[in-house]
Amino acid sequence: MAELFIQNFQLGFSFFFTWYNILAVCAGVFIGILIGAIPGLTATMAVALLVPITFGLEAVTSLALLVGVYKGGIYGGSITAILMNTPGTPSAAATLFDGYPLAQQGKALKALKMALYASVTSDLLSNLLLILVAAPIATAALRLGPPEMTMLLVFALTIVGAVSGDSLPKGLLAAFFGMLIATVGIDQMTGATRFSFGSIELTRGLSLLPVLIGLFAIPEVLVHAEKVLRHRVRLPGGGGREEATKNGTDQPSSDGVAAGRAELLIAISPDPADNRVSLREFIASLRTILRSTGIGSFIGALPGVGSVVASFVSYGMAKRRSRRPEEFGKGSLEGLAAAESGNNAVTGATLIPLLTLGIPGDTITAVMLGAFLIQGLIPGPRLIQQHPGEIYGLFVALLVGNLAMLVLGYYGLRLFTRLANTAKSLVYAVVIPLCVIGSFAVENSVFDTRVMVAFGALGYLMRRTAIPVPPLLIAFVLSPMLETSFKQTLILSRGSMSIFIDRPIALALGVLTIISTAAMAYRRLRTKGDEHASRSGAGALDSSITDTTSEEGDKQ
Amino acid sequence: MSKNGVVGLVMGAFGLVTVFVLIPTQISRLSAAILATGVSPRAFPLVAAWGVTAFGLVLCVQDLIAQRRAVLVPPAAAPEETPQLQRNAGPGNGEPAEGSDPVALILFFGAIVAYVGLLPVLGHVVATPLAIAGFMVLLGERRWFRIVLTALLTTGVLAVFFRALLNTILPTGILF
Repeated sequence: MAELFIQNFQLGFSFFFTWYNILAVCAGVFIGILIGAIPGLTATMAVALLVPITFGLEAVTSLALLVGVYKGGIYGGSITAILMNTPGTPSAAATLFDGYPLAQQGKALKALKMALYASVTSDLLSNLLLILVAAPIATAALRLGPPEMTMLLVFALTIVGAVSGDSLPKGLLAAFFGMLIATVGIDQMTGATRFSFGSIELTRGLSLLPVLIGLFAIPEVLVHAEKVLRHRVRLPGGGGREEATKNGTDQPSSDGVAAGRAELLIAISPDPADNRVSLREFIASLRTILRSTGIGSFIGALPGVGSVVASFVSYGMAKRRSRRPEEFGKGSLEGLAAAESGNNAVTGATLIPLLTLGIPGDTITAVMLGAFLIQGLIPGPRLIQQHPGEIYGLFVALLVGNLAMLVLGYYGLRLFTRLANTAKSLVYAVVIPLCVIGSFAVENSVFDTRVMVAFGALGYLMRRTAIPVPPLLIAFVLSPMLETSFKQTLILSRGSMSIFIDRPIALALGVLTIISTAAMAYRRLRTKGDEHASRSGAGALDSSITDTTSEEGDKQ
Repeated sequence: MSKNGVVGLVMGAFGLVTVFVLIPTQISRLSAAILATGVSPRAFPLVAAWGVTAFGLVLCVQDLIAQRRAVLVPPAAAPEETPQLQRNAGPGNGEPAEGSDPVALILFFGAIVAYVGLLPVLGHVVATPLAIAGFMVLLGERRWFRIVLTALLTTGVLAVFFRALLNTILPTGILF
């Protein structure tokens, strides 16, 4: 068996190592990073548009190109998430919880580097998992049916508590609201329309990308615009505007901002320690990266779940297991590493059900199925036996793709930080049309641009009222899947809820959910108790000082 | 009543309207006989709407209790946040934005709405450069060369990228 494995690998090496295959995987990674970094464009879109191009290419070349785009696209979403609080791809939504706060602290480079290292590490491990244990994992993944999916999604939803910030009621309010708006459209099981208000566009529901862009990108722009416009109005004597326009910009000369010096997108710290990830910091996050890789690989092997769920679950678990959970959401390297390694671990794992059973693991691999068929490779149990050279060539391409991502990502950081050094006003003036066009391009729908603007207004209002956005997003993504799997479960069990107890994996996930919810509730209560105690302690200290002072006064 | 209380009240009211008005009128009730799952299409929306109502009211009640406590017991001095912590409060974490200027906000948001509204009418080639120029002017840019160059370059790059490379047709208006 081992001998066969080694032979196949040697064959794969010989199939892969030509200059055009290496170029293909590097080009794929580059295109993927670029597209992933642009809000409104996704790796799925890029893969879908490149599949026809692969028609004239050899099998290994075309697959190398597409997996390169996949890898680069998932990582690329973290760049704008960190620099602009706007996830470039849905899978980077959890990255901005800690990525953007780090950037605000002047540690944008540190955040970008940690995102890169975590992504490459988890992607590599996930690829090794694919290569070594594809078949057994696929068989195990198929044992998970609707009851297990339901409990997994319920468990995933409990991370709402972890990302609700200081106010759990606000977080749960946002989550239930997200759940409500996710029901707009057609009920998948019965075909009944919900909240369509007679509109055909609403009948097909709300697309994720316009909602995502609206909730994160537009409020950011509005806040900046408000700041700039407010300062312009307050310029003294009305002559300030003339004075400021000497430099060609209308930037204020008060509040410590020199006239003509526009506010930068992100300030880069001059401290070298803030611009790199030390070995110590990486090792400190290594346990989290490994755990998140495991989670992402497991979730990636489940058909139809995807990298968004993987990143949220990884983040939530990391926060629960962290020694410093209070830092999460405020610029924790560990949190950032968890999100990025969770989402990138999916890339290798989603190929497992595709290659071994012919079942795509997520949307991107569903598109890649087309590429396989174009090349005459029929995914399924016999694929590896019938085409060992091509498949092991793909495995080698995956490993080389990780190296390409590390190199291109690392040297690309200079380009990305140039973006950081650009004036915010200039960037946002360009980002708005990009977001609008990106929202349009999802389904060639003008309606989606209006959805984006509406959610932009909602996102801004949520920001002004301190209602956290992440719980809304998590519920919006997960609750449709939860509803479908729950209803499928009831069909299977003919309406009986005992199926959740009868199936061991579902039961185990249910118990895990209860334990983690209880642990989170206990932690919150303890934190609140400590806060009360410290305030009472401060009050007691104040009163004792007052008493002492009055005693001394009496003595005098 | 503070902002939290108002938000709670509004969301609670919204939840109730959803439960008693929107759901009955917007979602058909299917008979149990044709429901293989026994779960109506109204079930999840009802759960969500009641959740919104419940937590909206919880916020409202929390606010009222906090206000009463503030009257009865003066609050102890809250620990001062260090500038580091203040910077840590990221916008994605539900922290309120600084200050408020409704006029500026409406103006800028109106510009975005206008761009989205005009895009299908004027098309990408006309609407986008006008929008970029407008946004740059609103955000303080006055160097006309930079405005024109950015507007035209961005429009061109988007057009090439989406049409030529991604095979995606951008909105065309009455002119182009």
